[in-house]
Amino acid sequence: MTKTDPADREASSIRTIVEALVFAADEPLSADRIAGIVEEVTAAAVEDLVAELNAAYLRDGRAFRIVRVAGGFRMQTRPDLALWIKLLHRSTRPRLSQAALETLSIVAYRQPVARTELEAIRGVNVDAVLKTLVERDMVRIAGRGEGLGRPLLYATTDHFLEYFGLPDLESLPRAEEVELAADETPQPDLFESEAGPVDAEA
Amino acid sequence: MADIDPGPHRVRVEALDFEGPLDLLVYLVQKNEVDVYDIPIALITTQFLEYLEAMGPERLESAGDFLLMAATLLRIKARMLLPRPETGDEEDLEDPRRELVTMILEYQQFREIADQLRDREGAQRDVFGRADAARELAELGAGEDVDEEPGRRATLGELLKAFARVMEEAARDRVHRLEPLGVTIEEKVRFVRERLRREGRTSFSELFVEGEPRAHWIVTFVALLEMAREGEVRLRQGDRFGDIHVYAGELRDED
Repeated sequence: MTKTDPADREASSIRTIVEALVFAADEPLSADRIAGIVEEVTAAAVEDLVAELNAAYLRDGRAFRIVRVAGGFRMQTRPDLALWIKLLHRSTRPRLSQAALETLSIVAYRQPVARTELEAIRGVNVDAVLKTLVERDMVRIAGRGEGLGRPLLYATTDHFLEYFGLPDLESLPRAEEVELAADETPQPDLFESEAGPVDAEA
Repeated sequence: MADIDPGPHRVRVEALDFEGPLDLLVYLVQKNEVDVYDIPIALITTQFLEYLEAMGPERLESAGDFLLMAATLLRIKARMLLPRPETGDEEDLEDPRRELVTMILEYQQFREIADQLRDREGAQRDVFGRADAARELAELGAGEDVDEEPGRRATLGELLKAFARVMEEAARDRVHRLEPLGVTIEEKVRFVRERLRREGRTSFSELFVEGEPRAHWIVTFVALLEMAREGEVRLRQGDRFGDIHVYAGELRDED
């Protein structure tokens, strides 16, 4: 960075601090958290600084960018460099099974949700797949429901959002609206939510 | 099983694998290009049963789910054959397939979402954050059954994993030094005895003094086991995973 104007210098150094924080964080760092650390900056201003950083990365052809994921900012490498990093890590991230993805989809939209509802929708036993999802930190136990036996309720985790690169739950993919007769299954709230995805990547 | 007509329309589904009965139903609806709101229930039921028949023994663990759906289909089929009563009762007028249609549509919706998540998963596999490598290693260690296979999960494996986690916790920011224990089982027995004499009972977790070297905890634990074996203490647990209470044994007469 070649700043000469002293008036720009402070802005540039705050940007650099934000950059350092996002870089050093182990998990997505929220704008609030950043604003809590750097007094000179508001949560809203963090967005702008991140956008500036991304613009600079793009201009300079840097290897990474900052994306918005799981309610925070995360620095990650560009997709086109994946091949090289895979050679470095030499481990293939195991993909989720179809059963896991289907179950996860239902948990995501119906959370907090009991196992019986998951099974009613998928038509199969989900014991094993739920266990796997909990083990992989995609799903967590969010409490107990009312009713017989006070069943455990499941919800998605922050890692779930991070894994799928989702800024928040409102950005979940949506199924093409399948027409249901008006008096049938009420649609879950999330389907009705109009909040669109927030993508800092653009 | 039902009257399956082994006619020429018999479907070949043996090579396919389905996530469950709904997955199979969706497949049959699409394959036959029928309207999901007007499912030819007899045809679909026949094909469904044919699949069930062809289902290999490796699918046995989910056979129950398929059989349940088969029963539902047969029940609907039977109701479709009954003449519609002419009473104005809404319950009776309802299409017997309605519930099934709702289930199929709902399942399809979620499967569509699952497909989109699958795409996102693929895209995310190409980007790396700084914590990814560590996380991956942890996952590789923890989730050998990502394509979960019920029944294969070893309890011993889980136990070892849990143990590894505990050891990992213990290893964190600890310096390893070799030095004499500085405490004997007898001393710890006296410690527990003294505590019980003063307080009548104590809780398991309270016996492990904060800040004490871990090795001392182990000695305390061994001492406790020893005392329980001798009947000097009784260990009671109120509820599963709850704390364990330690009571004086025969030496005292309270229960």
